Amino acid sequence: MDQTRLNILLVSPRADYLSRSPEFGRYMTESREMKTILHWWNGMGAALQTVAALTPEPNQVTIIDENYEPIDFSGNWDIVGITAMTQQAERAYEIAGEFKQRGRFVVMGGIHASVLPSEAMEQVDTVFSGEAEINWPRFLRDYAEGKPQRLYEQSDNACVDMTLIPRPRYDLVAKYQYPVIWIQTTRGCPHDCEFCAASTIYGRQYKHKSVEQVAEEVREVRRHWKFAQIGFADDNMFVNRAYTHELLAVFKKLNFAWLAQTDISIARDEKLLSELHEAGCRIVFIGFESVNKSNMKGLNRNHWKDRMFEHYPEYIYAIQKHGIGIYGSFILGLEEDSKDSIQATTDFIDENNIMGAQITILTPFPGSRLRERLLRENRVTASEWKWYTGWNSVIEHKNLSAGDLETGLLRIYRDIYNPESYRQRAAYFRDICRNLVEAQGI
Amino acid sequence: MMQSANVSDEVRRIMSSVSRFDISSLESDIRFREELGVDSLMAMEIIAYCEKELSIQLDEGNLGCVETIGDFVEYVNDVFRKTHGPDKA
Repeated sequence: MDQTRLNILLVSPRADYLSRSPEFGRYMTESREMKTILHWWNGMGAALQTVAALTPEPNQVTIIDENYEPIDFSGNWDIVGITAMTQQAERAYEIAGEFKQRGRFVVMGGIHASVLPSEAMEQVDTVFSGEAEINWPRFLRDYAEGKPQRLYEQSDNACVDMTLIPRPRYDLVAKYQYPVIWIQTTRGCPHDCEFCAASTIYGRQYKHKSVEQVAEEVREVRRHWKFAQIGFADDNMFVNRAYTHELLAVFKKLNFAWLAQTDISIARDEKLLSELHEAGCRIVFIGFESVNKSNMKGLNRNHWKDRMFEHYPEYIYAIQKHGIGIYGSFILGLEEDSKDSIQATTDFIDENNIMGAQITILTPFPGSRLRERLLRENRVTASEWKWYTGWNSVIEHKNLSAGDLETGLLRIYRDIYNPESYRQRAAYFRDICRNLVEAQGI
Repeated sequence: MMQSANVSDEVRRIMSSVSRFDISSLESDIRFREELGVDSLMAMEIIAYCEKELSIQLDEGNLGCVETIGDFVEYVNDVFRKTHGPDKA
């Protein structure tokens, strides 16, 4: 090894992000509408690009997204870093094994290793648990001195100050034609939902990058991708409204179209909705979770979603009439669901003209309170991570069999993403756009 | 009344304004959905502006045949001619 210059490979493993059912696979290839949806829910988060930015020169970093490009196992890498969500974990371990056989030093981070560090440590040399902004440079120093630790934990340090995070190395993934490029502006979410593992990583404390940092990332992304849409990967982007207003004023000047994830509270703020549309916000991804009110109790610790439930139709209307489309997230398999929930979900999406929806089966991801509870109740039916797609059933439900859940999920997708439903929604949005055009001009 | 070349320019100006991509980058062979990222809502907004600015009525059902920016400009030109007469286009 050249002691003065490390050759580092960072890998995002290949993954089946969708159902592993053959029937679902056939539907994906047949449905033009579904293919369009999936095309846009694509791309890679900014984690590896951020780690690359935290790597000082003269070290050399290469990033490979295995969903786009095969891995060069024969490369002369000093360190191989792998990130993985749970559905990528098994492939991540295969990749780690292959590199370790070749004598490479393998490290792993990302949400799966963060919540199950002991499991990951059986497969790789060093594990990062939690935010890596402080620990990655520390690891590089330790490695250079020949004494890398087996585990670097976030709790070893103070919280990461996001304003100190360097601009991610988007240039290293500009070789991939992603339809959406994901940028992170904030971390944290106040809602602490039972099924969500993100709170384990970021906690309920809410923090953000500076407005100028974000603006520079947007400029950088637009330098590298001519037509890619920008998506904000934050779990809940508009929690800090003062920061949001500052951000939107800059976005308006930068003049780009974008999408974001938020809770539904934005619907109560007409001024904010107008600002969002003017600033280029096209789509917001909102977790409605269920169309069955009895499911909402206890879903999150502060019962916020339970209180919002009765307002869903008026809030959906309020957001979409501003020309901002909603992608609603719904979970099938919450405690009180029954076979009736399948049709009720479709009806809710159609009746409220929701632009698009992502429906998943309740999945006890590691790191979530849900997993702890279902394990206690002996209701987790699969331990292989490859089944944790969110589209396959890995739970025992009191009213619905695994088959009911998986065929019910497919039925909802078939019903909401068919040409006739599309036409109905297009007509609805056409009226909205006509009203906006009359009101605004161009 | 607007001439054909002006109709094409106006359609591109509207597409640039709604998609927020520079008008100079909107070449005819760019694929409307896959490359430019025109989602269903953006398409409706483009249609609404074209209708208002060009005093025409577009049928969103015909968008299924539109693959590229050039296809869309041609489709709007065609509707414009049918609406306002060939001598205007």
